[in-house]
Amino acid sequence: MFKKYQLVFSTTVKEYFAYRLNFVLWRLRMFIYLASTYFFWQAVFEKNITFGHYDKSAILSYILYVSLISNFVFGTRTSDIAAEINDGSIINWLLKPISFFRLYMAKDLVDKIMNIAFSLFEVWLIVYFFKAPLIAPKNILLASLFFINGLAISFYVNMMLSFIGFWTTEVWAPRFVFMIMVLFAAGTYFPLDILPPLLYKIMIMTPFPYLFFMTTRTLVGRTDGFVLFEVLISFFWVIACFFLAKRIWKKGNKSFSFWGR
Amino acid sequence: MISVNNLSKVYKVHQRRSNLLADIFFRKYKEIVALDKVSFSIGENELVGFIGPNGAGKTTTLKILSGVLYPSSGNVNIWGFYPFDKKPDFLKQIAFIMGQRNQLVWDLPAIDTFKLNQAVYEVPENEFKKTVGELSELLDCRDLVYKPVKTLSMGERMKMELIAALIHQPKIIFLDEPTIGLDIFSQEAVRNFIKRYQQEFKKTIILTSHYLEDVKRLAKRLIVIDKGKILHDGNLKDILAKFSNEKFVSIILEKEIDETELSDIGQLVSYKFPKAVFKVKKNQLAEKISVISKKIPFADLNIEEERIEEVVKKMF
Ligand SMILES: Nc1ncnc2c1ncn2[C@@H]1O[C@H](COP(=O)(O)OP(=O)(O)OP(=O)(O)O)[C@@H](O)[C@H]1O
Ligand SMILES: [Mg+2]
Repeated sequence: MFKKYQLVFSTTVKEYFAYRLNFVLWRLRMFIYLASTYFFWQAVFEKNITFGHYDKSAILSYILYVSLISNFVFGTRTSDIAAEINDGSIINWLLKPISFFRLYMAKDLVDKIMNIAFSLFEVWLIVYFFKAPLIAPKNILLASLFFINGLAISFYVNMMLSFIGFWTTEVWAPRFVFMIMVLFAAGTYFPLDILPPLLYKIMIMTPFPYLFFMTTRTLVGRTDGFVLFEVLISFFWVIACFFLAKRIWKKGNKSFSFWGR
Repeated sequence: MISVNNLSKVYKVHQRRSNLLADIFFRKYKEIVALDKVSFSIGENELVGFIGPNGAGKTTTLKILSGVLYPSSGNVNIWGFYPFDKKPDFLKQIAFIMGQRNQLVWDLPAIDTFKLNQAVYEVPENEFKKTVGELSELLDCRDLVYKPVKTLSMGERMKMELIAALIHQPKIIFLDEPTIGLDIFSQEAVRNFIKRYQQEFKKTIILTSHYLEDVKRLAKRLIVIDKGKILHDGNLKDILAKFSNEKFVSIILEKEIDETELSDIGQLVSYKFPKAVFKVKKNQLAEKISVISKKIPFADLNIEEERIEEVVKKMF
């Protein structure tokens, strides 16, 4: 039963090795982002102030952990789907006794693992050479819960964004909007809870903070006690995204005309 | 086994408008009727050819039969399955092969795709080995499976595609223009493969092609389709009998004769000494032959059917 997804996994790994250089260059870019964010915050904390309940070591740890976790959460192959819809090659998968969602979970896992492997190395470089004050991870159980929910939300949102390809070839537009929102509202460059409380309260109603911000915040121990509300909202978004993605998939399959001779 | 009843497919084509907002929220659609109440049924181990001009609805039919497309109306039933449901038990018994569309992983050797398919279709190892062996034997390409797909020629790649698609030993095979874009040698190889494969393994094959050669060589039964409607469904002989009312009489002359003299006898299609060919209405055949034998000394006389290409062309 799982053998097929195992094979999808190993075949995808082989494909990655056919494009080693591409991948290394991509990682180099990601490393530059990470390093610049890290040094930005280090410069800000020269005078050892605090932001909200983040002191220097907390915020630098946050940046490093976010880098690791977001790399894993965002690792995906789903951006191929729109092209597969458009050129009709998706038919190859549709007509096989395999679940399309699980297929892409397996493929995504490859991308995630490749990314995290490099990411671990990059974070280690910074910790080792710049003596980063890394806080030991805390609240692992709660963090894992947020982590898994973040993975699920990210996966189903990615699937939905790809399925737009059933209706239009301009799939980049919604994905672009999504990425802008992520940049702004997911907490890649700073912890969201240093924002004004009202803005923060509004934000945590959206799915974005549940991608990896909640996980990281929990790991660096900056959760103020009671998080049941956040847990519930994260589950809400997992369930909502799951059903929406499935629905769009069904609808797309019915209405799409599958181009090609 | 396959039964299709009043099947219709209407494509809705989104008509782009210059106003982006109107384009998104008030979409206009044009309807294209690709299949119009088509009915037929196909039994076990049949090899059926679909022919028809561009846009006739051949590919649309195969896409519905395989479960890719959702039909607009009508019934499709394959061993009790409704193809669009894509039940695993159904999918395991079919294969859909489209010329020039590949499933092979481009950067890896074909064997990797074979193994992936083996896992996907849950084919036991010994069966897998046997099938790959037999198929590469039939296609004469044993050593190609370990070469990266991107380094293969087009004909070689098509052979690998065929193996990849047949690893799970499907009972029904849909072939949409399997020889398109191939050189004549590869076309021949693919044709021979399909023929032998069908004979040896007793499969149901439904084939479309632009090349009449494919259909003529492979299929006993032809379904002729145009503008979404079936014009004829029967074997080659029936089509000739129904739609061809002319025959060709060719003779080998003993000595050279003036062309006008030949033209007097009947409609001369070609004349190049020693061979002359007449086109004759079927009902005048006996009469014409007796005239020819009386007037012209010949060494040999042959009666030939009109070519299927010509017959089919006249049908549309
Ligand atoms: N995805 C699609 N969207 C809209 N119209 C389509 C689509 N696919 C096919 N059509 C239209 O439906 C009709 C039938 O197309 P189909 O592809 O079935 O023809 P075909 O017999 O396979 O032709 P060909 O010999 O050129 O491959 C054509 O008029 C075609 O333009
Ligand atoms: Mg076609």
